[in-house]
Amino acid sequence: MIVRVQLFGPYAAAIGSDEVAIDAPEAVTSEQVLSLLGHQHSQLVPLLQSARLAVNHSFAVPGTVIGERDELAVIGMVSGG
Amino acid sequence: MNPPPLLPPDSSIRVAITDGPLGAISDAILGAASDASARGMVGARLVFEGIVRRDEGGKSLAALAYETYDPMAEQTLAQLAADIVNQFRLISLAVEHSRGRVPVGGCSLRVEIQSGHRGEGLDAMREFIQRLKQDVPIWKSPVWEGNGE
Repeated sequence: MIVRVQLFGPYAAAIGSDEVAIDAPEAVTSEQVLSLLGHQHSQLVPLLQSARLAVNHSFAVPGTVIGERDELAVIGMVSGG
Repeated sequence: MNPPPLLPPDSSIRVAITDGPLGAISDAILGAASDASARGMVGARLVFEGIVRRDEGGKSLAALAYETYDPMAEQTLAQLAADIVNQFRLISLAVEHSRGRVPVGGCSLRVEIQSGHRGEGLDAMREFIQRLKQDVPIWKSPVWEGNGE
């Protein structure tokens, strides 16, 4: 299945895009999505070490199974204030 | 949609993300402050304002541009505000944050805290701002002076 991951700030700047489509197996977990993202865009690997995946606007707990219709976003290295 | 955060009785939070620099303290905040004060609960009121400064690592900024992941940014701010109200037994916590461009000298973050005593208010302010900078999906990027400004 194809899952789409939104990127912001330094993550989007690193690859020049604010969204990535990933070809993922069924029952993929949140950790595996981040891993697949790193394999697909190696320049994100250093940034992903401090990142969490948000699923439908909440931080995913470990082992969260992702569905094709879930809204995914990489959250890390925030800089509000 | 996430459920609204739980709060103790007689306490309140207010969260807003608005486009551009923040204006003066809103009537809603001042009204809530007056009400709590009138009931004799408030012993300390703190207001923090984050201002965009020009110098950044020896270079000159024209502005900061804030990007928010909506609606998660506002939801996370609300949950964080509720956590801090509960942890420090505050009477109220209001936070406003900018989205989009804020020029040098503009206010991009305002936090207003009311507490029974100054100690918990001061501790709560520091903790809230530190956690905001760790957990809330808001990113800022520099707009340098001279780049078409």
